[in-house]
Amino acid sequence: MKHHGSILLLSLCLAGCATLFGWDIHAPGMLSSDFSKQIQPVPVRLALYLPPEVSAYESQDKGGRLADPQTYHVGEAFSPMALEAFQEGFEEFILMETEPSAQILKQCGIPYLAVVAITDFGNKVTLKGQAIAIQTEVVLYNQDLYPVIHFQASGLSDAEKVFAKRGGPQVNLNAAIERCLLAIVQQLQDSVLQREEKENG
Amino acid sequence: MDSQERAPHPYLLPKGEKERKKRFLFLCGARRGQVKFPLPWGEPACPPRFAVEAGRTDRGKGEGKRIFLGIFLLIFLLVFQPLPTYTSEVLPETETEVLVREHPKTGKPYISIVSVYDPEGGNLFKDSLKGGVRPDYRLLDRTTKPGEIPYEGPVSDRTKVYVLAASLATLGAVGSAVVPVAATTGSAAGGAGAYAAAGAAVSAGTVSTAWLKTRPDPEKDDYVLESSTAVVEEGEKTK
Repeated sequence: MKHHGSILLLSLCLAGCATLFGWDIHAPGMLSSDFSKQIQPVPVRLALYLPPEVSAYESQDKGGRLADPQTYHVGEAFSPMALEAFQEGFEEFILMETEPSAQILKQCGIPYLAVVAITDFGNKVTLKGQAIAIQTEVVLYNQDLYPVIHFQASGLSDAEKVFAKRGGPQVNLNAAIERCLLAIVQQLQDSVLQREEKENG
Repeated sequence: MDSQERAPHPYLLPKGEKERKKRFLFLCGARRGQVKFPLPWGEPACPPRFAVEAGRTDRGKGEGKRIFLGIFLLIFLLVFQPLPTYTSEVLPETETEVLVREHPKTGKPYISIVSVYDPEGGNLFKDSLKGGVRPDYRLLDRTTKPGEIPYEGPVSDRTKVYVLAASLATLGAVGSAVVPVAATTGSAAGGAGAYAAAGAAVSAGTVSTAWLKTRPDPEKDDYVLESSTAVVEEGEKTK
């Protein structure tokens, strides 16, 4: 009996424990009600293009050697949250679902195009809690598809006793994404408004 | 000939007389089968309908109706366009079209520019679950007890083998349960220290332009949310 149990446990461990247990983290994919309090929409027409790899972005960073296996479906939550964030930040928001071109921008009268890509995902699991960070790269183009500004934006969420609560890691991931999007939208708003002032001034 | 001679058929009347009868019936507003007798020229030898036909031509009346209906139909189609039309505006030069979609979670409409050849190919949310509940970040507070802040979003659907390991341990299969722990030892202290300088992840040579570290309620909340941006390149290139 003892031997059978040992063999069974050993085989389970060797079989790839990540497929047997672990955390499969799907964030809610919606912004919190605080976001609309921190962002005011600007009267600018802006298009957003999310490369296909953004929606498919996943990470299996455990955050520690002895931590449970974890799979974070980052892109699955990032895309709808990005859409919502840009809807909140720009009054005339357009989503480009096809490869953008200068001709399309000119034909539709779109002065700016933002392209967002996820570059890095970080996870740190400690005895106390968990810290999640997301890093993105954003390029704002003008109507001729020349870059106006190129910047990196990141968002971090650090909380304790995350795994002890139902929905803890999911909400933690959601918070990190939201902070990143807050930084992106604020930076884009500043850049666009500065440019508009220069052109009008 | 009889003493009571019948009035000749209007059609048999001399031309002048026939024309007079037509005008008479027209002025009287005679309709089919409604001619009143006796007519001035007496009871005709033919049924009343012939008298009516003499005063009016149905063929001309029908043609007028058809022309009127045709003009009315044309105007109606041009103005109201009841025929099915496309819901999008096709931009032929760029082979794209403009669609209005709804956000899968919030339902808020937005404009999409899609390819004419594959309108659903770039749809990021065609397989997304509809609806959702906005998260409450107070759940991340250290002092929040499990269950105190309701959470209705997705949860991890993987089961753990902790129960299996524990059951094996109780059966004596293993000396001590090998239970993977969701923790590390000797790592950096929790809090912002783990990613203290998010700017450090930015490539060298850049300058952090914005840093925002918030604690929604410093006197109450015990979790940290940070946002930062670092400009890599700025300035518009000209042709």
